[in-house]
Amino acid sequence: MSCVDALRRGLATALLAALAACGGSSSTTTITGPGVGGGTSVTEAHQDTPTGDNTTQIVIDAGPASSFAIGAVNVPYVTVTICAPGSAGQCVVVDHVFLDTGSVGLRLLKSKVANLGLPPMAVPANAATGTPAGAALECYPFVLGAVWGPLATADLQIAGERAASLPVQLIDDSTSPAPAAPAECVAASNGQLMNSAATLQANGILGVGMIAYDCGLACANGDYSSGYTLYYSCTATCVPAALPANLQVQNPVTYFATDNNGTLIALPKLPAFGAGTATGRLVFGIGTQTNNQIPATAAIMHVDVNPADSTYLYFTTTAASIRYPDSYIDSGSNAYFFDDASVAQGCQNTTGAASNWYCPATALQRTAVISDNTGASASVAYEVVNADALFATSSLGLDDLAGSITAGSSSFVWGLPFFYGRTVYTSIWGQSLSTDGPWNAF
Amino acid sequence: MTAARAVVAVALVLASARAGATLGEPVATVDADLARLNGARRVVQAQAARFQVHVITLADGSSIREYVAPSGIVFAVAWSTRLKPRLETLLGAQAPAYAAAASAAMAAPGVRHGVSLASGDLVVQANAHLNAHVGLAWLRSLVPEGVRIDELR
Repeated sequence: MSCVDALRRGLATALLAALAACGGSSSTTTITGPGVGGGTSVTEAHQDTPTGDNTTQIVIDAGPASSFAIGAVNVPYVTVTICAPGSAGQCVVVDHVFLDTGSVGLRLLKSKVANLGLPPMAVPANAATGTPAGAALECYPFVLGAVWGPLATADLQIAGERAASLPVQLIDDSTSPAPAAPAECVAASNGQLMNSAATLQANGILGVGMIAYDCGLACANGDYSSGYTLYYSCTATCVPAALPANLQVQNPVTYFATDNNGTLIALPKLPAFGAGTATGRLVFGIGTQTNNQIPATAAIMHVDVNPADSTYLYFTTTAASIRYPDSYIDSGSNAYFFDDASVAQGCQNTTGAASNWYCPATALQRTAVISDNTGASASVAYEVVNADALFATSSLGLDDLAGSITAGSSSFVWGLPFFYGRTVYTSIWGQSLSTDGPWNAF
Repeated sequence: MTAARAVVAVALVLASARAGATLGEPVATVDADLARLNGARRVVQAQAARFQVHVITLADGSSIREYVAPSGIVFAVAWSTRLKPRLETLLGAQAPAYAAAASAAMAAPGVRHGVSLASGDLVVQANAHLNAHVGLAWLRSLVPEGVRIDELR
């Protein structure tokens, strides 16, 4: 009996087992109940596999803050346990930590771990770069906004994994940060530091992207000529600092004893018009256990690793005959984002600054091709549904939400919608892998 | 040392921030960017001489492309930088418009790895994957006749 036959014949009680046997990691259940907005009835989608001590739950819900905003959907969260280094009992559990494959490093609201007394990190003096010794603070920028706060070491526990004495950033969420953010950090933050659960829409960020630390050479050399300063050495005042790579904020996965070469994210396939909330699995390691092997049929797409290329850390997407050389897969982007003037915008529900959604009259079903410098390519089907109709459901998991970006943009962003109904692997550059990273596989 | 030396470095950053300017201004301001960024420049002539591209490359592999119309005015700036670029200098006189649009966009909560902003004549697209920042900013009124903005992609 083929898998398809098994699925066709499966009674409700047997369906899950049949799905699991055929799909490997597929185990999706849907439950219908009241929507998050309290009005319409919406469905939840759950994926409960893979299981094992290298796995933990991902939840897509309304997040930790009460101020739910239209368009604030498709945000994946995990729960972490943070302990004082070497302590088994001095720990706190932090929920709603944003799971981000588009950044690197663990960043936590300082207030969430205040009672742990996490040891602060210091910048060593470096005569060659003029860096004075001082407390290590970071201004970590996003495309909009930035976070400011000290570096500290902490023990991270997640799933059955432990990262001991991990360099992390504590996001200063006090009313009067001390030391205060330098003027350049305020500029880097577009004038508004993200310093609360409400502005971050999270209690922290778990950055598990493709590289081992959050900055690298520029910061190790203290060469901030290409942009804003990340690391500062602070005494009475804060000055730009050269900080060795091993003292920068680290990719937590690389600190695990095993399962330290990457991650996979498995999210359920969603019903039409999305899921009110959704759960899935975060799995540590690639090819290190039976539950994180890459199927022979998976596409492995490498990103460009030459820092002198304009396509550094990107691969190419070709969609509707347009070539986007700066494309990426990112759990930290909440929709597909691309430029296509032929798709209707004109959304009604989504006014204001975040209103760049696509609102086609009928659903678009398209296929794009992802290709990389190794000559590999893969076809990817995607769907775009009217954003007004999607937001009207109050669903927080939406696998067909897309936003427009301006003409001439070189990027096609495969955000969280790409992850639903797939297993997406994110390898870490420099770690031991059967195929050297960095790449995504799916 | 040297606290004193580091303070001097900060002062230089602030001073050069005021000196830099490009978008919407004469091609000569590219020289200011070149000096400020301590970069190297090459000039590429676009097809049919409809515009020139001044490419500034930096020691860390970053590059900034400034698109110059036949009138000698910079009508678009694109970047591929290892750090988040200081747009308040690259955008020149347009920086306040960008700041206002960015501030409005930040009313929506959450971490953003990409943003599209339009403010009057100014259009800005920025994306980042890890520490690779890419983006494009242009002024609608200054795009030379016959040039499609997606030719800059």
